[in-house]
Amino acid sequence: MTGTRSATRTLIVDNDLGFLMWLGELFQALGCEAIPALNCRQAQKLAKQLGLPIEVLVVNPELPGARRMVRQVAASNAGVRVVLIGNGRELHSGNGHNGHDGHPGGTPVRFMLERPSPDETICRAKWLGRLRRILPRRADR
Amino acid sequence: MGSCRGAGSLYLIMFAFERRSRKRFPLALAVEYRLLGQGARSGSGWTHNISSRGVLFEVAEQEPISGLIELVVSWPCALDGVCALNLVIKGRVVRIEDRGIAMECTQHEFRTAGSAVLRRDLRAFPL
Repeated sequence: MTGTRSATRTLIVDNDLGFLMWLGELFQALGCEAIPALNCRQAQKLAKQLGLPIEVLVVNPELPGARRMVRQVAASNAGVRVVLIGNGRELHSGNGHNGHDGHPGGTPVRFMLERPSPDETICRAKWLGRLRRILPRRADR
Repeated sequence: MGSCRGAGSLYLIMFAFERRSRKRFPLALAVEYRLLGQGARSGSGWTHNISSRGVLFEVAEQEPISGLIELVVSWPCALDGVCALNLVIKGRVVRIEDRGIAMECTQHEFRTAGSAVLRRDLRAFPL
């Protein structure tokens, strides 16, 4: 796979095991290589161990070390898309919306992704649509 | 006013906490289980849903399952074509229901092929 890889490498970092696995499975259904981690230290260790360039970073910003990790991933992965997982407290609306435009020079493009509310019925098709909007455009997606 | 803001923040924190801890996500992933302690045995099955607190899964075998258990969930992808990743969950069976076996998690960790490298002990971070 190395050298001919076309899958988008996605690092997902959240301490909610169910949501982490759910996002990972969906990203993989969309043709990504999804790497799950339960905290930032694990994520950085795993990324370093595997030597992966990261194209999409999905992270819970409330985790210890999240800001630092975002900076480090952005510094070593130009054009990385950073997706912040919201807990319903952030002042924004929608899911999978682009929160900030990218800037020249490698500043990451940021998105927001709301965690499902307790009473939300999980709809796979809906979530696939949300995540598809986040991913870089590929001819095969 | 300040106390009102404080109470609101507390409510929001608790609300976010609830979102994390209780939501079950439907996932059908292959698992291998190993019963720990007396009557130790192993088998295979698949998950119905996963949350931070537990896993609902089904097994092919008919023998009763109870007590301490370890589940290994295969991550459905080889990373970079070479590195398989497994989720290892330890806990105990809390009930048997029509849809399967409900397990409460006490510990979970991701393992790359070959060695355990990543560990998170839920006892240190109760959810």
